[in-house]
Amino acid sequence: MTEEWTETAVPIRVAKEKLDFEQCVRLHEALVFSMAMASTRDHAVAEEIAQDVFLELYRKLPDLDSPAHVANWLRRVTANRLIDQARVRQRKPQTPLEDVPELSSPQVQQDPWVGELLRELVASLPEPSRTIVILRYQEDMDPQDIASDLGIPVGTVKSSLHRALAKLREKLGRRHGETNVWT
Amino acid sequence: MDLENELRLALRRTTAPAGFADRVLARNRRRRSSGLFWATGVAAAALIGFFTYQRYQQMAEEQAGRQAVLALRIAAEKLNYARAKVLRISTEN
Repeated sequence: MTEEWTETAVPIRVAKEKLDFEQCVRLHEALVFSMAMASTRDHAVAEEIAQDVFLELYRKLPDLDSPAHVANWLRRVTANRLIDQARVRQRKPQTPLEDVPELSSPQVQQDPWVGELLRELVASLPEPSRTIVILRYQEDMDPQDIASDLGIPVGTVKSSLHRALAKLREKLGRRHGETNVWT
Repeated sequence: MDLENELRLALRRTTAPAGFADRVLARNRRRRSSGLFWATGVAAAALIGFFTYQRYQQMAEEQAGRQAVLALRIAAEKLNYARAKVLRISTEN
């Protein structure tokens, strides 16, 4: 149970939502798997990481209050796990391009070559910049929330983003053979 | 080209592999079963240990009791022997 304060300052006990593990898995599998895939670019490794995160969720579920809380928890745990994994595991992309999973919302068009190149370049960023970029552009989190989830100063998040974007522009420019194309 | 916009497009969520949720649920069930198995084993070992100790205590107490009875018998026989000797001496006198 949690307490909510009304305008009359009388606490009302609000029943915690009963969270079903299976529902949580099916609802958030894309979130967790996408983060892992964006970071590792390896199908098998991404699935292993995603499975581990959900098994950890099972233990933690009684302490979580709501579906939103679950999503936030999953983002935070996945992000920290990806950063830890990067320290022990070398990135060895093993997923052929034709096996790259489909986008969950393909209606917005992007040059597939550009998209794949960007994904590869993001995955080549050092941690924690890589995870910060994923949280910013995949999960649309603002720097304050990213800083809170990763337990680092917001200034570090902003400077990491700035450096990562500069690096991506530089690499894209080299690949394109052009300069100042990317803004 | 707007890099940030292109990043948002490139990093859109992908679908999880087919059967992913089922594999997670199956793995969780297996993990819970093995956890229950070990917990049952530990509980059973603790119970067996407890009852073994209790039986040992009981046997030790029984042994102590038998030894006490034996000691009393020896003391009683010695007393009887001494009494008999005292009686013989007093009769002879």
